[in-house]
Amino acid sequence: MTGDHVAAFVEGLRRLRAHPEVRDGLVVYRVDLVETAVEVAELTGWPMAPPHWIHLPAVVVLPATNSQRSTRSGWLRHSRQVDGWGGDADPVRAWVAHVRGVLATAR
Amino acid sequence: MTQRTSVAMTADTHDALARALLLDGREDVRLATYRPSTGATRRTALVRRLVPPEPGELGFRGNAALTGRYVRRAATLAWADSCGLILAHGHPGEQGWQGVSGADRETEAAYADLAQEITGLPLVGLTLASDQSWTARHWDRDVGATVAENVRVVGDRLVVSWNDDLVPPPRTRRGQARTVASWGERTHRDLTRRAVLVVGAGSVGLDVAVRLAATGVTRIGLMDFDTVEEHNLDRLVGATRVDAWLRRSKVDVVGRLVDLNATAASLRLETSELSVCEPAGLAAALDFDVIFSCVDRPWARAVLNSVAYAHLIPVVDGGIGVDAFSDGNGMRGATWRSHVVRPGRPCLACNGQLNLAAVTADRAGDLDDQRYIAGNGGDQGENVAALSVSAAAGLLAQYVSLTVAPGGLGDPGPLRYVLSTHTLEHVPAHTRPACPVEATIADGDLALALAGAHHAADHRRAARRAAERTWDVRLGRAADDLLHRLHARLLGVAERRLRVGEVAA
Ligand SMILES: [Zn+2]
Ligand SMILES: [Zn+2]
Repeated sequence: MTGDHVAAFVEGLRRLRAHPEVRDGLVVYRVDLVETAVEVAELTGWPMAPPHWIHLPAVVVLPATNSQRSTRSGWLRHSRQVDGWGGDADPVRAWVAHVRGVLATAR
Repeated sequence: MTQRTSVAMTADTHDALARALLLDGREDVRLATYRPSTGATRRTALVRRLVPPEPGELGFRGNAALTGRYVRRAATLAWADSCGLILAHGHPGEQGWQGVSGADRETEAAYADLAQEITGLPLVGLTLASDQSWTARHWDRDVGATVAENVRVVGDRLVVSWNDDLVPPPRTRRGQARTVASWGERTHRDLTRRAVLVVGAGSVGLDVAVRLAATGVTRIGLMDFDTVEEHNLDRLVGATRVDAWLRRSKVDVVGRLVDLNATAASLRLETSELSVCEPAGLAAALDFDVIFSCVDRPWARAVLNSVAYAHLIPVVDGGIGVDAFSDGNGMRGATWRSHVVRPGRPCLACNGQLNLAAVTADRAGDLDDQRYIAGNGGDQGENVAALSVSAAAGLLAQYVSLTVAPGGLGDPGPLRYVLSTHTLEHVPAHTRPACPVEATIADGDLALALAGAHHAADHRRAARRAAERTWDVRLGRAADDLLHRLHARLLGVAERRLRVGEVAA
């Protein structure tokens, strides 16, 4: 079943022209030219429950507290809770909006 | 295939079927589709939708007669939706659970193979009597009819039709006289037969389970993977320092209290040290007719939230929030909430009681990770015994409304009690458009199961097993078990002495 969830997530990103690719346990894609990723393992609840950690290149600095090393070298993963989930007809669009919101705080 | 079987449907589906089957006092017949819901020991057919007959698909030979064309068309529709086929008919003028008459048996047996061939699932036969009670059986190939133990209809009331042969009405006892007098013999026989699961044996779960036992419920499940610890003792009323020292599991300790407080002639207590988030825990939960959610973690609540819709098992949920001042002086306030999660009501995510976005972090173990908590300012989950009983009372009152419908009113919707002002509020709640949870009504086994490996549960159980191997815990347990056995003996003596008094009186 896990494969189905990942496939649904990837397909949604493709529809939004976010250039998704699955590598090293991550779904890597682009939001407004910034490369970002989520862990495949976090997609088992998709689309009912969204992923949690947002992976970004270390050069992207968030004014935040909770960052940990990513599985991808030179990257960090950032803990960012989504406010409310499940009210959007297109969950992938909602997810990208969330990532875009987080990126807007980057320095 | 000697498994227990059952059928469930929403109140809306029930109304639609009843209109079709009992309209003009003549025995009518309809086909419908169902999805299986497979528990550890019970499989339930969840009625999904009616397939109305097209002109010429029903013949009349005295009673309504099916045609092969209707069966084939409905079975094909069922197959396309990964469903099985239901053959339902009305018994106007009859009351209660129906035996399968020769003619009914023949009709159902005649179409059972065809239905199974097309859909891959056993045909389910349903009969509706004039008093709105259902009867059901599963027709497995080479096995024949397995008669269901009950049929539940989930709406603002939970209405259950019972097969007395498989689940006999419990004998009422003298110790239950006042309970029975409160809602009558008939209601009591019904509600004490329902299999009730309490998920979470913490302070609220303990109070709920003990009260259910005192009410006379004959089948109670308790599920929790946790261990009694000293910091639980201010809320786990009845648990002792001995239990904390001996590393007793919460379900052991609460199970003992449930047993001590049971008023039923015989109580079937099923304890499980699994989490409802684990596949086996979820399967065990699907064996029950109603579930109390007394857990506070988002993952477990998300699983139960989904079960309420996908598997048509009403979930009575709620909890308490104590708001402490950060400087440690005094208390800002407290609220406790209660609500029944079921089709027709907004789910926990829609009524603001569950953040589905927190599920992934909980599942990954982040909510147990100090680094993560520090970074996110996690809350401490304050709670006090004097108030947790109110939260339990809120849940139990919702359960009574759902079950007994006092004054004809069923579940009241989400309620919130505000301690500072001492007001009880009805909380307005609406289903969000495109809610992914409420869209899964009667999806059964095909619903997205949020269950998976649960490392915190594994860890707790392993730590308990390790402690059980130490000498002082072993000796302590032997002594403690002996005391409990002696107490059980004494209770048996008391039971017999009271009986003597009863006969003499
Ligand atoms: Zn009949
Ligand atoms: Zn909802």
